[in-house]
Parts: sequence; structure tokens; C-alpha cells
Amino acid sequence: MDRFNAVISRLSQWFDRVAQIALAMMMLVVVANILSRSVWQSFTGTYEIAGYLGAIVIGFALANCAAKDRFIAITIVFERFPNRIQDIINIIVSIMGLGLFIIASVYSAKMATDIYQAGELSPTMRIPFYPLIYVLAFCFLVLGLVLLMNIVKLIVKVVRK
Amino acid sequence: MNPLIVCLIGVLALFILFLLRMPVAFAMGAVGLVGFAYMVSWEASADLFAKTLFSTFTDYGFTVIPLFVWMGFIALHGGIGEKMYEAAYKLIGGVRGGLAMASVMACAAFGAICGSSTATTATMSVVAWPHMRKRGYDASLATASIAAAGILGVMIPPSVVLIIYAFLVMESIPVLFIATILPGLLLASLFMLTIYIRTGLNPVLGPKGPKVSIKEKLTSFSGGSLETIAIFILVMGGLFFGLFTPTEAAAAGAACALLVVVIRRQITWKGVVDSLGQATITSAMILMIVVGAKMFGHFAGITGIPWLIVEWGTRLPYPEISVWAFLMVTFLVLGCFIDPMALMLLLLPILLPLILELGYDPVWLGPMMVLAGGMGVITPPVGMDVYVVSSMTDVPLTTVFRGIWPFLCAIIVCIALCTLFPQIVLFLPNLIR
Repeated sequence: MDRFNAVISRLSQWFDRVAQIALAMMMLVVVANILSRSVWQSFTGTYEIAGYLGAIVIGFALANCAAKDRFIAITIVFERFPNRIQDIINIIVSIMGLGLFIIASVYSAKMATDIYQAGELSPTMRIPFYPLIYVLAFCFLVLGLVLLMNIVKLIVKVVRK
Repeated sequence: MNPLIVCLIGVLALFILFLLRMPVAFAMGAVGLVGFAYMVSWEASADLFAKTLFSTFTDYGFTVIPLFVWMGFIALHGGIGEKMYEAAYKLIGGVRGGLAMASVMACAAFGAICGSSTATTATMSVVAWPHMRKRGYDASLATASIAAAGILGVMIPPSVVLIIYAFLVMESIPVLFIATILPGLLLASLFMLTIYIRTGLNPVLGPKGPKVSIKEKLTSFSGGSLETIAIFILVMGGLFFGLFTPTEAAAAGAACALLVVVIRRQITWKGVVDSLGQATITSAMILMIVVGAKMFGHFAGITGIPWLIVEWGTRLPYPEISVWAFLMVTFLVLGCFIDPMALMLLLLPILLPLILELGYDPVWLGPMMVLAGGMGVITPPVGMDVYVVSSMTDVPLTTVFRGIWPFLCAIIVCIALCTLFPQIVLFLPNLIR
């Protein structure tokens, strides 16, 4: 259990590192394009690359955002419940969240497969973009694992009480 | 089942999930997904969810958010807020209540490179509170002035809330940014007037600070404020004159802010990494709310409720202004419990058709929404900015909330003035539209 916890925690942190690198790269790509445009001409596909890097920033940061409990939630009523009830509600809500991101992951992978089979390419650079959707599908799965870890921890806590 | 009833059940389910502490983004996404599936089909709804996630995350327009957020965190870790406060402190600290007014000025200036009220409030809590405590300022006035002035972080452009608003109403980001400048300055002036009146009635609340020579006042701007003004001019000037797209302005701003703090040796490598980490997590949180709101918006749209509200709202036998007042009160009340950005994302897709049908200009509406949301971040029981100030200064929550009411009145006055005189908001945008 502790090992599983440590692995998921580490994984979400690594993913966040990827997001951080993508953010720095996005800034560099956009600034390089501004400079290039002012002395010569724009790089073709900058908007597309920035968009894809944006997807990597958000997708890869999701798991760590959940691990650090940074998604905005309303606590005002919840806090008034006894601890045990809070834990049970948390389990139910986390299961719903897990379900949501399993659906996101499965249907993103399905979308990527459809795009691959149709041979669809990006509008400007004419490159296949289905791998990015598979990557995002995997990011949703990792987010799901963070939620699963939370559910297991809460169930253990409730049972031990 | 009648679509109206389905939508009402959806809204009820949404609020129940909110109260059960389900993250706002997940709750909106889940209700949107299930609601849309009920109205159309499961496959269509799940496909729509996957497409919404991909299209939102890869949207070039939304890349502006992580970049502006990162710029704000660079400013935070680079101590730019501290320099801002020092300059404002030397400029105005010598008058009655001057240190509290300086924190308002510094928040407005910091807001010019930081689009988040929470980051602005956190910075000023660390920087301004020790000075005010040392000078014997009343804790309630001092902390409340910081919490309230944090709103200027989202009122003075760039503002993350306004960027999202721009996408919702499909308006130009530069036009909306320029629209908030005068209301933002008006709000800062009203906050300062509030402090002046309160310390005038009871001088013990905010004694005068030490006298500062004219020379010191002039040189105070050299400690970082000039660079900040230069970044603001670069970012906003580039946007307004059409030299940059919003994403380019944000990237240029982040690069310049990073360059300034690195050259001035105001940031460590750890600071850079931390700023990146905070920016990615904050951006993920914001973009997931956008996805959730889009899913909920699809569901609300297919039930036809926004158009029913238009029909109902335009038939009301009351003047249009009363509908507007009702919306503002709704924002104030719900804003006490729900994060302002989430609230805007939740209500706007439903209410926008009515607002437009009543003839309100979306450019005018944007700053008003930010102001209305601003009330939510300082009012109990949630009051995010108040929680931030309280946790960073160790002043009890009740003490901070006690001092908030005069500032809340100042926001209401600002909303009233902008409603009575829309030119306060529209004058600058009309120059470039």
C-alpha cells in the first residue's frame, strides 16, 4: 500500500516536471517566433506547437494537481460533518471522479484511434497529432490512479476506525 | 421528461456535489456528461467530453493562461511585489493611513504583472503587514485593506478571469483588458478613500508613517518599479497596438519578468522551478474548470434553459436595471460560497443570452463580472483572499472579516458608478474599437 502510494506520488511529480519543461519551452517557442518575425519571418506552425505544448502543460500537471488537492472545492458544509462521514463522502466523490477520468481516458484513446485510422493530420504543419491524444489519455489514467490511491487510503482509514 | 425539469435536476445535482466537496471542475463535468447523455445518448456525450478536453487543452487561445500565470509567479518569487510596496510606501506612507493606502497602490501595481488576486494578496500580506504592525496599525484595518486590494490583481490587466470571460463571450482580450483599467483605478481610489475616511474618523487605526524626502520618493522607483512599468507597457502596448497576440504578450511578459529578476539576482534556481510548478498546477486547475463548465454549458444549452430564461427575463414587468441588480445580488450571494471564476463559468453560459438580449455590452459586462466576483473573495464564509491574509499574517479570520465591510461598500459604490456611468468602462475600449 505504502509502496503503491509512493510510486503514484513520484509519478505525478515526474509528470509535473514534464509539464514545467513544456511551459518553459512554450515560452521560448513563442518568444523565438516574435523575434524571428521582427527580423525575418514567422516560423510556420508556431501556433500549433504552442497549442500542443499547452496540452502537455495541462495534461501532465493534472495528476500532481489532484495529488496536492489543488482542485477548487467548496468545503463550508462538508467541514461540518463528523470525520467518519467526511471520509465516506470523500470515498464516494473520489469514485465518481475516478469514473469521470476513466471515461475521459477511454474515449480519448478511442478518439486517437479514430484519427489515426482516418489518417487525419494537423492543419498547418501536416503532422499526425493522434499520439498527443494517446498521451493525454494516459495523463487522465494517471490522474485516475491518484484518485484511486486516495480512495484506497480512505477505505483503509474508515475500516481501521 | 421535460427538458426544463432535467436542467433543474442537473443544477440541483450540481449544488449537492458542490456541497459534498467534489471539486467544482469534476462536478460540472460529471453533471454535464450525465445530463447530455440523458438528453442525447451515452456515446455522443462521452465523445463530446473527450473532444472538449482535447480542444480546450490544445486551444492556442488558452495557452495565454499558463504563460500569464507563470509571469505572476515569477513576480511573486522574484520579490517584485516587495519593490512595489517600498515605492508606494515612500510615496504615500507619510500620510494618515498611508501604509494601508500604500498596500492598495502596490496591489494595483503588482496586478499589472500578476493576474491573480490570491497571489497579489499573498505577496502583500508578507510585504505590507509587518510594516503596518510595526507602526501600530489596527490589525483589522491593515489586513482587510490587503485582502480587499487583492481584487486589484484581477481588475488591473492582465487578468486570468477576464481571459476566460473573453472566451465565453467571444470578445477581444485586449479590448477587455483596456476596459478594466479605469474601473480598476476607480476601485483603487475608492479603497484609498475608504482608508482615509476610516483613519480620519479614528486616527488611532492608522497613524502616519515616517517623513520621506522628495529625493527618496523619486529614487524609490529605481528599485524595480521602472522595470515593472516597462513590462506592463510592453505587454499591454503590444496587445493594444496589435503587435502581439495575447499569448505572445504573455510569453514576452514572462520572459521579460524572468530576465529582470535574474539580472537583478532576485530569484534563485529553486524560485524559478517553484514558479513553474505553481504555474502548471494553477493552470491545470483553471483549465479543468473551463472543461467542466463547457460540458455543463453543452448540457444546459441542449435543454434550452438559456432561451427560456431570456423569454422569462425580457417579459418581466420591471425595468431592465432591476434584472441587472438581481444578477449582481445573485453573484454576491452565490459568490460567498463558490469560487468567483467557477461561478462565472457556471452562470454565464446560462445567463449570457438574457444579458445580451437586454442590450448590455459584453465589454462593459466583463469588468462588472470581475467586480461582482471580487465581492465573493472577501465576503464570509468562503472569502478566499481573507483566508490567505489570515493564514499569512496569523490575524484571526474574524478580525479580518470585521474590517472588510467598508471595502465591500467601496466595491458596491464602484459597481453602482460603473452602472450609472458606463463610460467609465467603455471610454478606453471605444478609442480602439
